[in-house]
Amino acid sequence: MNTINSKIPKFQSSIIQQIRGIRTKKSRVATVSTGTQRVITQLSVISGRKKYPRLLKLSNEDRIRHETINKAWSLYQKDLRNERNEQLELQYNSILNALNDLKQVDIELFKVANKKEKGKRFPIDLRIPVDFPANKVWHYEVKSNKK
Amino acid sequence: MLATKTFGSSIRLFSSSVVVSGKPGCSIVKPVHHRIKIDKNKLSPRFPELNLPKTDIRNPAFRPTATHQDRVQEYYHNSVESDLLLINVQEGEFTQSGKKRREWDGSSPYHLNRPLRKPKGSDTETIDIKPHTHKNIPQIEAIHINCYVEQAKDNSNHALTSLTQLQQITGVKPKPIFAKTNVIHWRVRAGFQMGASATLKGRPMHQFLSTLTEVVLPRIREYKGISNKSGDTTGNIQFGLTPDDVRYFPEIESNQDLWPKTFGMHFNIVTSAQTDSEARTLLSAFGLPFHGSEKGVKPENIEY
Amino acid sequence: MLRSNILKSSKRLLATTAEQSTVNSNTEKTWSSGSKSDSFKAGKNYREALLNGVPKNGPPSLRSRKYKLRYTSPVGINEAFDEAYEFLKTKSQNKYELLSKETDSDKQHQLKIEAEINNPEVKFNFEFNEKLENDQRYIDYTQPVYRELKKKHWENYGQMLLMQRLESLAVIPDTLATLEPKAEVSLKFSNHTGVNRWIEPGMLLSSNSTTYSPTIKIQEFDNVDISNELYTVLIVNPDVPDIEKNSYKTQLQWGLSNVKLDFNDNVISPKKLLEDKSINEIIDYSPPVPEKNLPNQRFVTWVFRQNNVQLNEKISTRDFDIREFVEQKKLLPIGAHVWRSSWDLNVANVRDLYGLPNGTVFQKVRGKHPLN
Repeated sequence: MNTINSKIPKFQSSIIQQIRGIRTKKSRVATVSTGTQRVITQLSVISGRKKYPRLLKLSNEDRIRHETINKAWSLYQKDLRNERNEQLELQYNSILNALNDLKQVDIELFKVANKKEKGKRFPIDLRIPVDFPANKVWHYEVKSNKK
Repeated sequence: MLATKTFGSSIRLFSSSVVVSGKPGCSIVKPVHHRIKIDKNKLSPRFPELNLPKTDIRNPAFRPTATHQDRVQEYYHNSVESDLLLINVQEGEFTQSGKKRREWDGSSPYHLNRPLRKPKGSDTETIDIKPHTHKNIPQIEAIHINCYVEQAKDNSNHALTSLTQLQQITGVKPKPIFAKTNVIHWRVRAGFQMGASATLKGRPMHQFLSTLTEVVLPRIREYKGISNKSGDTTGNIQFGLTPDDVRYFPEIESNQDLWPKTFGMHFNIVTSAQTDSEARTLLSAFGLPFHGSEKGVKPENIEY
Repeated sequence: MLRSNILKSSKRLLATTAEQSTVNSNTEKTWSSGSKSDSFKAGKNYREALLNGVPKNGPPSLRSRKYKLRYTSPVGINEAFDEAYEFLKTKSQNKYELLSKETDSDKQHQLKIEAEINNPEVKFNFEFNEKLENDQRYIDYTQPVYRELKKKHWENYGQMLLMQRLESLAVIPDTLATLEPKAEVSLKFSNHTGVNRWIEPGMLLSSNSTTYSPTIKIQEFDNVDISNELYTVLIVNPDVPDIEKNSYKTQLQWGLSNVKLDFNDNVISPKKLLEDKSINEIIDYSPPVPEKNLPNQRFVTWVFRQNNVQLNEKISTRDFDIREFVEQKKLLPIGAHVWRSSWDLNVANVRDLYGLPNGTVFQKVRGKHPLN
């Protein structure tokens, strides 16, 4: 209705009943069952048209600014990645050092420490951190049923 | 002159019919000199913006990715990664080669060109297990979701609904799956659309994983967890959800009227772990519960 | 009606928030202290908008007033840009510090590129200014970063186009075996008969436009000692019919050697040839005069580095073996270009102008013996 009104001059819209080429009446849609209507809705949800938002049109200045931001972000991520990998390498080396030391001190302890931990699990209470955690984060008193 | 010298027999003849027909006369020896790779799309004047990288905002295929914090990823890097390193690293590890196909002994002439023998004690090859270092800490790489709808053979609308359902709960575009062959007993014909599948990676995967472990799984009644027997021996874990379980996804639950029917689905969590046992350890860090006896672990040592 | 009003006002709101942040960050931004060249600064019309955000009256890069007023920057771009700029600036500062300690020329070159490649002003200058006929105020090819950007730009289109044409027209291997392009060679006929634009490789040109010698532009990208380097330019035609041998031979149309170039001033024009007496003309320019009824002839321009060796030789005969010449003089091919010519009505005039003998008209004759 909106589009039709915009095409017709304001003062005439109440008078004119019929305009060539523009449908003024609501089309009489064949009534469909609710099930079919649901399928139609679902089809429209998964249609490709819904997936392509309009392109952002940036001015030249803003485009270069946008690219600069992206570049800085990717370099920053790269720095974080390198730092993390360095840290892990240090940890790895120190694990091996500690195990080697233990081997010389006490071979029995070393065997226990160097055992394959098959079936190891992180505690089920462990949560992925959130911005607004629950008031009670950890239930300390809860014990496993298993002995 | 030049052509004679360089290419011997392939002289460009002046008095050839090629010249008369107006075609350019050139050496018939195919050049072996391609030093620069030519991308024809880039030379075409059509759709210039498609030649830009997909990270360029002018390309119609551009999608903003880092739009929000990825807390699952951060959690993995901040807490899980170093713990997994500590759990997995052992002193004095070496590469354990898996079962590989074997040569025939050559006792028969028919062994020539025959496909290699099966591995000892197995039908398929298994992967090598490499030493655990800081460079191969296991992480979740992808989640494949497969939703096969049996009823779709009678009513193809069900396949469509399963597609929509998958899109709603994952936020990525699923692919329809089709029956590959005729199965007369099931009344299935090749080419029937039988459901949907989706592959999640990166941010959508993390989002889905946190919804699954924080919202859906805790609300399933009598849910025991993923079976400790699940897995394909190379570090990928499989499990499934029933149609009733799927109702707990917030996208479905908030719109009950739209979903008179929901469909169960199978999940395959692909990890870079080398064995299933390591993969389970990794997944338990994200809050996925496990149950049952595990191969190679004494019942009293099973952790839950 | 109401709805559109709300939309309008909300857009206005977004715009005002963006503007406010502009005012806050309205401090003079300067890239690292090491970047000295004036070409590292964007043009004064755009600099303000590029570094401090699009002003109230719209982006200067938009021409129309209507679109200027309609334009709104994405929300939050200014704050994000300020952060990004500071971050990249410190990175660049580190590169300049490394540069001051570095002694190896190639590594210095690389560091110079890395220090400036993320500078938004450099990016802006390169993207929105004429790249081939560059204005040194904005694009200064003596700076390694601009050469690197130009090289990437060239590799993305110009280089591939050239190689495609060289291969499909069989310029390689008919003249030289192959080419690993290192420099961009552009060519145009900028005199009164020519078409005053750069020729796309493989174009078919009329004999009128090629009456006088072409203007050649050679853009070097590598880290070469350009003040000492000498260049040779050869234009050859490998499609001259050789009736005796029932084949074709190669002729030298034009040859220049001992050409000195610069990263910015790198055009070999008729004017430069008149002024610069150090340039050796191996053989004077002979215009393409293809014979009637023959297929198109290829005119291939080859550019070589002489590796600091003077080449003062003159050649009097046009018949030429380019492979032998290149091997003898130890020339390094770095670039090429090709255009094509065929007979047209003006060829006779060109022959008259240069005092060349009349051309041959070839006819189709059915031979007595079958051809191979």
